[in-house]
Amino acid sequence: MRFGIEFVPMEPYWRTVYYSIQAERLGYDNIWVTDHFNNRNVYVILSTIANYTERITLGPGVTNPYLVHPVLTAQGVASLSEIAPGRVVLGLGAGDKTTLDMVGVEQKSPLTAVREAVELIRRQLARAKEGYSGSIFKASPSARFSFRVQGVIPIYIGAQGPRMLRLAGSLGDGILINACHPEDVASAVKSIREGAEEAGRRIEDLDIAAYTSFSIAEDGDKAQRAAIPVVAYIVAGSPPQILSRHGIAQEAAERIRSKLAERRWEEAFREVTDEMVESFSITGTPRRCVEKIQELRGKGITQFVAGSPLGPNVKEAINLLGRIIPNLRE
Amino acid sequence: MMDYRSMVERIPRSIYKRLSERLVDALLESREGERLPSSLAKSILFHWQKDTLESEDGIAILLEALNKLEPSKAGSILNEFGLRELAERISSTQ
Repeated sequence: MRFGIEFVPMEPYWRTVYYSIQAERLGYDNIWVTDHFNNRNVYVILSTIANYTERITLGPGVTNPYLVHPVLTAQGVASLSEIAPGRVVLGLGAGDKTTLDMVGVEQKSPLTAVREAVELIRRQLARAKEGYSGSIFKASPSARFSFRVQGVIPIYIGAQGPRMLRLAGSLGDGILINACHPEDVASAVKSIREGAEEAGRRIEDLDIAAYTSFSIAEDGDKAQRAAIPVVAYIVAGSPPQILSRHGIAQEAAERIRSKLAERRWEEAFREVTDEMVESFSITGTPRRCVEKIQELRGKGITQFVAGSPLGPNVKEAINLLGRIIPNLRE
Repeated sequence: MMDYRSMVERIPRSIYKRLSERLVDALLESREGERLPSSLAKSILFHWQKDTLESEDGIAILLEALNKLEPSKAGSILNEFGLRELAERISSTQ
């Protein structure tokens, strides 16, 4: 099993790079950097990380084709591959509706948008001579790169709903499942398998990652408390069928959503229950986290991604997970 | 201008490792992180990449960085390690 870590570039760049060097030294395999316009630019951060690391794989996790045209995404990862040959990956999803709404961008035909974006990016990376003509994205033959890509850049598709998961299984080199709970992950792997088989592919050839909200600390209560703000946003953004699967009332999610929208953070966070934390994050002591990660591995994942908040103390959290990685690989 | 390198030369080598860790933690937790000049940030990352933040040069950079962001914190950490004279020198420059 591979181990990835997600960084959200809200903090000064040097902290993200510091943590990246730390993660590489501890044996993590992947760094995923989120792409949100209100944080630092993903490719600036990734190229700085690339300059200070030697081995670890890295890439956007995830970008979307609505805000960044696929030819620009292809250019971004291809340029990154010049700095970090053979260790660049690309995470691509349909984006987050709340974020797209902020800038008035409609999330139209997400399945088609993601499929066409992947096809177009692959053509660009291959420097294909012919152009691309999809229903959403187009590129003429003259849009071809003027430079070569270093190594192969696998494309991971970020997915949560069954249709996007099936598409990811049929199209992606890897899949970033946006889920933490074993039942959600098992259901996602089933959809991925269906998509892969329909396309005549083997699921064993895909890297299936659980992209989790993760919080680890020697003190389990502190780890759980650190996860509450992230879980509040996850609950607020979850579709009704996901909430219902975990026995969370629509009204409870709506209360959190409206308080977050009104920037009443503390009140919103107080609405987050232990059950919500359990459903939408992996938190606890190292021992507890090992149990939960092992459970996810049993559901068919091949990569575990530790995402925000990581823990009450990020440096310590990276160390704690880093120490248990060798045991989990066995 | 303060000569951080010569200050570090007066610190017992036996506490370099612990002091370096403490300074790094303070920098990572500081609310003033955005004020760190990029030249200093790059020096810290260079030493971290080479695993030399516990060297004299590494500690000098960390001390300078923390003194830029939070001078009182830099002084209090030096005091924690019993380095009162150095803490006073740092305080006197503010």
